[in-house]
Amino acid sequence: MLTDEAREEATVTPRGFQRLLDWLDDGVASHGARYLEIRRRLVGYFDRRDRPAADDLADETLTRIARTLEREEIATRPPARYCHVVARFVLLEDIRRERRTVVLDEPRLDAVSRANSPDHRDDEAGATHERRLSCLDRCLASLKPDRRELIVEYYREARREGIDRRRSLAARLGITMNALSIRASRIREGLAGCVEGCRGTRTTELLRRGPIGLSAQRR
Amino acid sequence: MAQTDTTDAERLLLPYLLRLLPDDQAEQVELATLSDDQVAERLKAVEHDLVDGYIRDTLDAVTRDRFESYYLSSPIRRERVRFAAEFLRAIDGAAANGQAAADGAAVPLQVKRGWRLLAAAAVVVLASGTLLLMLTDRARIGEPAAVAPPAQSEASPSSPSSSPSSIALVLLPQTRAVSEPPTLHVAAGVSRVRFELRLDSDDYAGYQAGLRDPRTNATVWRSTWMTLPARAGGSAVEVDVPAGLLKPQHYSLDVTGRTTAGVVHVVGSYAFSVTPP
Repeated sequence: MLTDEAREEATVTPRGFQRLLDWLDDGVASHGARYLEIRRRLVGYFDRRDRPAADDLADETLTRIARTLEREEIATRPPARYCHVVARFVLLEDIRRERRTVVLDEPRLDAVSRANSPDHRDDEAGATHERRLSCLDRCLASLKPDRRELIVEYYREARREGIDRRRSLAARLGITMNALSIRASRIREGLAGCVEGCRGTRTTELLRRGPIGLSAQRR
Repeated sequence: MAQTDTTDAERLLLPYLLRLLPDDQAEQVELATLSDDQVAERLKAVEHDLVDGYIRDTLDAVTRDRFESYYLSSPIRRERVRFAAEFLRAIDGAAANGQAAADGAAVPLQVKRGWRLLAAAAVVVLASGTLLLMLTDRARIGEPAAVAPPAQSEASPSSPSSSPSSIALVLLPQTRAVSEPPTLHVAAGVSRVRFELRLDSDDYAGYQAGLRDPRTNATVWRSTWMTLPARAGGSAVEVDVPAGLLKPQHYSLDVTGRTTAGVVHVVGSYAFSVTPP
């Protein structure tokens, strides 16, 4: 978990953030999509390492890179490889910071226990749940028919026909099973993004604010 | 779980997702998943299949335990599971709507109420004291296959499958043919029913069968994991289901296969119906 002091130091200027976006795009304009993808991978990286503040650590990694880019060029390619190097340092520092912490991080524990508490789940399962389902239906309906058909066919209850159905689907599309699984997975991720957007435009917010908020003083 | 081809990458990705790899290997996978777009995409697909397997209850016991003890320990990952549950519900809903529309246009009423199942027929085979009922012909639709335990004299004392209190049923791989499921009548005194579930091919290191009650979609019994012995006439999973579990209704025996890397796939389902005694 980042301290307020660390967070203050970690802010990035609009120029640094723009350089980060360009650097991650690596010559192919993605309009922020690449940034969101790399950030998602970093969150997964820290999360699989059991870091409770995985989102913060992903932002810290990207902020460090952005600040480096303000000062100098980064020659390492692909950019994601350099991200991994920085992420490893951020991870080790976070582990060390945790070891130094004697007092229990009560807000974190509280957050975890709240997330696990029945009340919290009940709250989530109420209005939010309904909204998500409604968003899901809307997003699913908004897919192009061929993409919708593909994920319905790919992910529907599989007990009856099992792997054969996926095999025949891959054969029908003229692609391998591996390619089919990735294609279906991409559509599913896109659907998840659509649901996020439907619920509150989180991706837009991430792109607007940058890794850990843009520093007004340094603009 | 995953219903995709098992590749070298996948063999590492699944244990990576469950944090079962040693640190040096995990680091290699981490680097690849961060910096290689293809591996990153594959990881997503494998993770989707893993989570879906948990939700659809197709993970083997070891994977399920690890999933619950490690994967679900993170709020971020729990959120993914929650989204996946809603996603699959929406997908199944869309599939059911599509199926209903298709059925309404082309399939007779009887099929709407019934099953999309293998062709059925009855070939009674008496061998080594075990009564095998092989259902392969649609002609006997609606006619229960009355199966009584073989006479004591027909039993082979050395073979458990030839116990006078057991009967056996051979089910073929399910096709898209439309017909009623094979029916089974369990006579008094039968303590277990041996099912021989024929497979198209033997592609997995281990197999497990689960008896599913389609009314509740709950698996009411599972076999242990088993390997298939080489045999003439094709591969088959053989399981002994306690007769006491079988009530007069429809059932499905779902076979799952497990790769050497622990990846579990649904192999097929075998539906049948039990008639009242």
